[in-house]
Amino acid sequence: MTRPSAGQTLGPFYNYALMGANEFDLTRGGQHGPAITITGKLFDGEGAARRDFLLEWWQADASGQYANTADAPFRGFGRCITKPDGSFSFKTIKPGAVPFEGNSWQAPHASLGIFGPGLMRRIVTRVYFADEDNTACPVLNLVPEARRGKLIARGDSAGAYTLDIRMSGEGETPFFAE
Amino acid sequence: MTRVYEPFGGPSQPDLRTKRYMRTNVTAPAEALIELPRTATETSGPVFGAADVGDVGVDLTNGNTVLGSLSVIAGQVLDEDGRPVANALVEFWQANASGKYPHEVDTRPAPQDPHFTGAGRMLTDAEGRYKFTTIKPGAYPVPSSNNWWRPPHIHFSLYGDAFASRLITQMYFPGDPLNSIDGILQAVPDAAARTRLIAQQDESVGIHEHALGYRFDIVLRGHSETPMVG
Repeated sequence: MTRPSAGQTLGPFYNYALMGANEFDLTRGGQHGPAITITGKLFDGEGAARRDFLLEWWQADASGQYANTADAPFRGFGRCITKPDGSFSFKTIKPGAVPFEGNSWQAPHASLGIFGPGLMRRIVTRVYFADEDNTACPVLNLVPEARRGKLIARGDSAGAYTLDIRMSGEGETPFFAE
Repeated sequence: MTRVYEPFGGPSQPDLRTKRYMRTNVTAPAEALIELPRTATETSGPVFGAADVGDVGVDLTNGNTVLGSLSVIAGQVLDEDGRPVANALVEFWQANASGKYPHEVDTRPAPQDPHFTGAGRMLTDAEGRYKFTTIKPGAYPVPSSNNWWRPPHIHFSLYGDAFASRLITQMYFPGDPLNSIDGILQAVPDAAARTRLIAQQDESVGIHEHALGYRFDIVLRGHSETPMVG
């Protein structure tokens, strides 16, 4: 067996190169549930908003199924590059709960892969939703209780959620080992 | 068939904190990464089709005469068992022959080359193969870095069969003296893993009296479940 090739930073100079890098709208192929938005800013360990970080969003559809074809009605994948003020935005639908081992379920969530200048390889986190019952999620419960709230986006009645990402230091977002 | 995605990291992957590169101490998490079981979220992943690739193409010269050494880069995308990864989305981008990117943040006074696109995209074929035509990029200095120059390199972005098999890496050119002092390549502790990021010159890939040839194979995370023995 051969171990995977080493990752390397994507650097700062890539935004013209990647497919759909500004297509943060996961509903562009059709509306398959009530639309929601998730917006926020990405900060580094000194509290500086950081541009040119690539966020990749991956989620199940409203019934908790992951798309497995390129022509699926809802594909569940989107990219967004942080703007000069560190901001990002995704438009999507709320995912359903996703099966876990045994009879347990993961609360509705999206996976977020983060690449950036100054990041040597991908860092992965998750986004949960404050208006869902997250108490029994077996993955969220792996995160120390005091930090769980950093993964939970807070929304309003119109489906506009907010969640900031802090790469390092005070208030650091919980990140998962790959 | 059950796919296995073992924990990522170790000496074959770059350290998150390096001495030189863009103050990695403020981007790398300070807290320990939380161990995550592989769930349906990680073992599924986006599937791409021809419509996603669009008309970006695999000729970064667009058929034009472009400054620099014309080169063909080809290779195979494999999993950890050595099996081809078909239909993998491969995206690549690079500086031009002067080491200049077409990006507003690259403010160094080096010339753009209007005939060079600097980026391409494709899906691997049934044997996991990719191939594109470009020029060898130039080296360029890293700002505020005490005269560190990046060696010529091409960025590669790949999606294999799962969210867990995602990889962004860089391909380096054989024999360049900057490789051994590059703060990004050398952030990979394992020497064999660094060597695997350096392409091999391959005349069978090049075009006679026209283009140099380089071979660069890439291994993505994931292998088949090993059968129980005994």
